[in-house]
Amino acid sequence: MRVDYEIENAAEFDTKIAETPAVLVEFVGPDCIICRNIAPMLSVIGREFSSQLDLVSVDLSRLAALAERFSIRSLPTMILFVQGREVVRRSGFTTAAELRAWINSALQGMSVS
Amino acid sequence: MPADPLPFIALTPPEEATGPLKELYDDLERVRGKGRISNLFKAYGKFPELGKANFRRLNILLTKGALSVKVKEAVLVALAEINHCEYCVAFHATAMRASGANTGEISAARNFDSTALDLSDKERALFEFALKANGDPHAITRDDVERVKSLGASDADLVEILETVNTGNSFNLFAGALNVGADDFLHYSLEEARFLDEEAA
Repeated sequence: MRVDYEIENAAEFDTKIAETPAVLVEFVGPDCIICRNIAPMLSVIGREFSSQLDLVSVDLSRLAALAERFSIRSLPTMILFVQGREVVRRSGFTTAAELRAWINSALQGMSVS
Repeated sequence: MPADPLPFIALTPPEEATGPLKELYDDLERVRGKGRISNLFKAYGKFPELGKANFRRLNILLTKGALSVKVKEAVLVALAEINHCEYCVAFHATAMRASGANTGEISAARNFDSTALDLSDKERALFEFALKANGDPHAITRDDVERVKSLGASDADLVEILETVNTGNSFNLFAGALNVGADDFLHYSLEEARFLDEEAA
């Protein structure tokens, strides 16, 4: 299921969220050092959870309207959408272990396949 | 574009080393064996006193302290992965194996998964602490510190694991920025680390 790529525009974002059972969206920016630091962790998580969710990133310097729409105040912010609905979010650096626990907890009991 | 195979600075071969640089090279051979002068330390040799200080720092880190070499090498493997330093991954994966780790544990370190590392609860927590500090030192909270301490970590353990992070990052930076990756001395590591690719296949 997983496709790890950067969303190009708001319409693509809406389609992705609406049509994919579970999507982890990473909101990033070009000057965000922590975003670069978290990237290797997310890459591993994307592989590990590839049967359960898609992983995409949104560069808010290009898609600023999405920052406003989702009230994003700091980067990186990660939001997990399930069936088109925001389920959980977190901001700042997160280790792979913390991400595993966070995603597993959020997906527990949900059918996303 | 193919990767540039050559270092970006001139590295002095051992036979041309004199003075403080020769002292550094002699130190390396005394500890690691004849001919085992890595390109990384040849690069540091451009500032021999700094090279000697850093080699001493590395030796202190790996031979002194209370933490196992295995947990420190696991952190160094993870950092090398984070820093996209394939050469460093191979080198430290080999060192991690020499410290008793099996292939599954090396893979776990590369995937930042402390649960699959055969370490004490304290050292697993310190591995996670190291990765968090590396990602954003300001994200570390008093609760993070208290958690590792509740598992038996001392103040000295915290210093030791953070210095492991510092050392790994500084060496990865040198290897990357000066392109000192492949060298004859460490080919054995790259060869030995073929098991990493075999496992992934």
